[in-house]
Amino acid sequence: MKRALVLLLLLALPLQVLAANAWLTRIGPALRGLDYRGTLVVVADGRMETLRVFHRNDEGRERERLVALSGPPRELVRDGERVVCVGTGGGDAAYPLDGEGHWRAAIALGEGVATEAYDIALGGQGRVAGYPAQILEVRAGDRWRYGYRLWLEQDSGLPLRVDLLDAGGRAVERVAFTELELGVQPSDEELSPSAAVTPVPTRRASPLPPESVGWLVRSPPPGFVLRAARSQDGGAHLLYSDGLASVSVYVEPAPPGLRGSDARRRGAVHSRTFWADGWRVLAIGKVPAGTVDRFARNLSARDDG
Amino acid sequence: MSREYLHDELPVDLREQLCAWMDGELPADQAAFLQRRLAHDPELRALWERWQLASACLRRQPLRLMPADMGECLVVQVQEATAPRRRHWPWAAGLAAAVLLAALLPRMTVMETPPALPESPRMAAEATPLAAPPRGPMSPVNDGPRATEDVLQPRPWPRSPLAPGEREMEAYLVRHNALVGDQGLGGFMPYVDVVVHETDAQAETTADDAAETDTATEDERR
Repeated sequence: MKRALVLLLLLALPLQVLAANAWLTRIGPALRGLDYRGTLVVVADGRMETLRVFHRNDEGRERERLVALSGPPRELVRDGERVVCVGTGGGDAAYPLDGEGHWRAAIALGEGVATEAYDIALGGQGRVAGYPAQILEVRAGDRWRYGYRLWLEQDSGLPLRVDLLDAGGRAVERVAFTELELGVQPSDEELSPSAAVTPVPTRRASPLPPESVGWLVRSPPPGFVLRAARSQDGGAHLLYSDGLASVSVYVEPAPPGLRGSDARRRGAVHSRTFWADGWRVLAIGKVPAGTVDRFARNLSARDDG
Repeated sequence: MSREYLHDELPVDLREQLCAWMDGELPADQAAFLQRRLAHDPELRALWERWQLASACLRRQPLRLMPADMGECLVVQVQEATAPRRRHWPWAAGLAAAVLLAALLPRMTVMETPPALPESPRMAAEATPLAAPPRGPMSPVNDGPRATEDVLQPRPWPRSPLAPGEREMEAYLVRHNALVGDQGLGGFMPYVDVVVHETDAQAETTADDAAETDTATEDERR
């Protein structure tokens, strides 16, 4: 009898992991493919912000508008072609996406997550914004990434609440819907920026096969692999990811003779910059400060090219 | 009792020098001269501290006010601590400290090392298939629009032409999110970070640009 119980437990554990992974796989398509309108609350750094969220998918063209309801008026509009920011930190700006930002089936969540990087388990049941939710625990395996506690809508898998957790399991940031209309198509008006914005001139980026880029990060944190690369004005944009957390490393030519460094935080997003020897390296991502620091410090020119 | 400088009493050239230094735009030799003057002029130092305080307030940086005589107290304490005195450490403790230092020093050095980049864009061009880097547009001196942008943006002190401004940071984050989305990778409403957190809660910039910028400019003139 005891042996049978142990056997049952051993069989149940992989099934639990499979079920948790299946939930994770539903998140990407839900976030991108569903139409919804709602109110989002963000709590971080002892501050609370409220946002109105509009999202619509027009046959593969993803459109989104986020409008701040608290603090100074700010909004962001994303329509597949460009990202328009009004009143945000950089002032009013429209960033052309230049080939990036097009809808692509989100296959990575669940399938692409580095299994050694996270411990994924099903939690209990919950309720957020009036919707029943399945709780999913995604514990980070080390200090190089954040963990997550997710409340996923039972039918669609849409994240209704996301707690970002540090290595000690403390919430660094909490994002949650307080009100949500699922399956409701926001109007064109609701998805349009409230002000005309001058486009920001951007440098053209060309996609490159990752193996042909002249730069690489030697010994990135475990689980992070190079997923994409772009060449840009003699520099490069490298994207490393473990499937959930991602870090971009930008390397750009800089005037010679300058040397310095810069470290910044924007909520849970950290950046680290070094400039020296005619180059500037900037690593940015929603990861702990030590992670972007490691990426920025370990970038070097590929010597096998 | 020492009397503090009033803003209007300050000679115009000294005022301009202090402003330039605060902006990180004072040539190295003048900065060194100003530093020496501040070290020996408590009134001027008090004014300088008030300016820094005002600047930090305007940038909404967190402040912790220290006692006015903290500098002098520190000097006294450092002098006392470094005054020669007899050591009673046994030789074994000295040896242990030396071994510990030898073990930790290489690691500490590695932690503070910036990325090992090629020394010049030419070397990198040899190593990479990317095009040779165009230097002109990146120059903070020659780039008109960038210079204008810099004036409009609050930047951390000391300023450096290469410390990313607020708009640059936003652009990097937007491009990062776009590429993450393009690859079908994870992230839960990543653009919320662009809207919600409009300013850096912490910004730490270190730069010894001033001296080297000046040198570079001199080189270009030649």
